[in-house]
Amino acid sequence: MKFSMRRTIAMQRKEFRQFLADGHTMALMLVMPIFILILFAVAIDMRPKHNGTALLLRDSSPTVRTLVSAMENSTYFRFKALISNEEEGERLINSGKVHFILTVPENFTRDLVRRERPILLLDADCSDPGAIGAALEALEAIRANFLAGSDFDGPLAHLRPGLGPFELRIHRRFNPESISRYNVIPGVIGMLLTMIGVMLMSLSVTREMERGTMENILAMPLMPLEIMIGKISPPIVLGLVLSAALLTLSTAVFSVPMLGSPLLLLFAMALFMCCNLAIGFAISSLAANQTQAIQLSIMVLMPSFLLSGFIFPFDGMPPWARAIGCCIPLTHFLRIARGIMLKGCDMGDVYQNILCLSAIAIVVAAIASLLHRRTLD
Amino acid sequence: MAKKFAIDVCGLVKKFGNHVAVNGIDLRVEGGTICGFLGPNGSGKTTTLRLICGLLRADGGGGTCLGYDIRCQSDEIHRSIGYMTQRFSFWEDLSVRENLIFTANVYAMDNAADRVESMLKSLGLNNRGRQLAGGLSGGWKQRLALAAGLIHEPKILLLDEPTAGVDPRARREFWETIHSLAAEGITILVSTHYMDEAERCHHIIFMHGGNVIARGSADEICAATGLKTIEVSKFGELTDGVLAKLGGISCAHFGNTLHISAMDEIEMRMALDRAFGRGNYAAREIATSLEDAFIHHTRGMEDGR
Ligand SMILES: Nc1ncnc2c1ncn2[C@@H]1O[C@H](COP(=O)(O)OP(=O)(O)OP(=O)(O)O)[C@@H](O)[C@H]1O
Ligand SMILES: [Mg+2]
Repeated sequence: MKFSMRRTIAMQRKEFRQFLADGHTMALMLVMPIFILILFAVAIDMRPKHNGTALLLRDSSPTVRTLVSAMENSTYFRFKALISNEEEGERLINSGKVHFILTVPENFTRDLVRRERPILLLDADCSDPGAIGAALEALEAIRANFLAGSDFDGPLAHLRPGLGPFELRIHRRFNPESISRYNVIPGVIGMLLTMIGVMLMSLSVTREMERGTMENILAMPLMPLEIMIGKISPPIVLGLVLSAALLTLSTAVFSVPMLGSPLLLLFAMALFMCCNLAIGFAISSLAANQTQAIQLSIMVLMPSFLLSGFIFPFDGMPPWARAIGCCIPLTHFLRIARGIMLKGCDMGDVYQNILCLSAIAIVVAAIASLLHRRTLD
Repeated sequence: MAKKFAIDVCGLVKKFGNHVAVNGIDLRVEGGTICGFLGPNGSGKTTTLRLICGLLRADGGGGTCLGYDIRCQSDEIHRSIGYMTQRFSFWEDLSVRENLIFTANVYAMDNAADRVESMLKSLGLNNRGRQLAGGLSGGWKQRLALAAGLIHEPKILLLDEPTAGVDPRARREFWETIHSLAAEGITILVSTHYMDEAERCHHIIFMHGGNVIARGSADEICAATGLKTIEVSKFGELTDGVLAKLGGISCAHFGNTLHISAMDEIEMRMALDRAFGRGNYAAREIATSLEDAFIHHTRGMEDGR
């Protein structure tokens, strides 16, 4: 048989026709790349600024205030909380609300004036080593040039040394060797659970629709709740087995620390799985066929990965992206998983994220059961 | 009043977008009778059955099925009907037995396992119990679907083209089953494209374009058309020109004979003379068949598909 242009064109026309008819594919292929490009180009800062910082002031002279505002002006630090003791600081850094705690010791200014090189203490959350490097560099620059300006002209000019008049002691917390694997693995676990939960579930009802078996199910005396529980059960079991396996593998083989309670983490995983399955169930009621279900799933998964703090540092995103990120289950799960594994968080540190996950699960499940088909129309 | 009829609905309307699939249907079916739905593709048979069992929400009209409101009591209706879908709707990746056990448990049968075994035996499926449903041939799939539809001893059975693609012998057995079920008092609604099957029903509903255009027994429907039918034989060669001369008269080949039917016998004879030439053919009057009535009813009307 010879190559025929006519047959080829016939084939092309058929493909274009089907391609254009499928709105979901079109949307996915056009909108997603543009969204991602914009996200990378303008929105994401791989060296996040405005890192939340807690301030423990044991000395509050104008000199200290100069230092604090110099840090804030560097744009890498944002002082979020003025705390009065270490415990408060622990809570804040454990729950991920701040990445740094700056402790200005007693007599800082006095020692400074006496050229005794007082020690400024900075606790840094190194669980995401890449995210805080820039802030540490900025602080080092401030230290080196501190008081090099006009403040110490005249009689105080001798306080203008090149080495910096104080010592900076950085206390690297949670991942002192800055092993990026420690930060990545909890994220990968979350990503896998999201993918499996959403995909598996989104196919479940659409498969029945596509094969015509939904008509049978709807003609049987089955309540939507019964259908939902039945359909959710195998993925939940699979998810839990998988979670346990992934955790064991990460800690035993890849020596990721597990400082907190594995049971608390498994509980969070079950809750997280429920969120993903509810999302998948909602998708499966919306989609007309399995292809659409997969495409809708991808539309949910991509933003999850990009905006949850898994790929990009959460604090490096603009406010609108962080607002979206807060509605994504993966965001909260990541904080819980990293917190429990790397920081040894307990319920008190992560309860807010657990509450958020529960709220998302309830809201999405409610939406999913509203979307669920009770008839064939 | 509603108690007397197993199904009592009126004015059922169903629209899909702008398209009216069912256009105000009234239906009353007595308990223990077989009611057949006949009509061309797209005439609304499946849609009507789905409306009756609450699978679709009616846009207008309403009524009762076993005394339950079809608009708001579909749970009760689902418990007491068996619905066999037009397209095979059991799980092809489950075995025959697993499909039946699932169905029996969904209807909360007390003696599910026994019921499944006796069902398998009575439908001749017992040595296929472990086969995957997807591996069954078309006819066996239909048998499985019927078995599943009967497993919870429904009071009403809705069968949507249950014998499409089933061999004649299995079809006959199938209809024997249907009749014995009806004798037990089960009400049966069945849609079909086979005239001989329609003739086996107590009552035929003839649908076209979402409307009921004729109803009654097969004889009543044939008589009501007022058609006369002539069997023509021993004519010479048939050419396009010959058939064209018959004008608009409906005409069908049966082996070496032609069946032509129309309202007016004289006009028919004149057309035959025109086409074949007087005396060049043999003709005798025969009973109008349901198929002739079907063609008569659907001719010249726009199909609803
Ligand atoms: N889900 C649907 N969405 C849109 N239109 C539909 C839908 N279901 C049926 N229709 C339309 O309603 C009309 C009646 O369809 P229905 O399936 O009831 O016909 P039918 O008599 O069962 O035909 P057949 O003999 O081919 O099974 C058709 O025109 C069909 O296109
Ligand atoms: Mg049909």
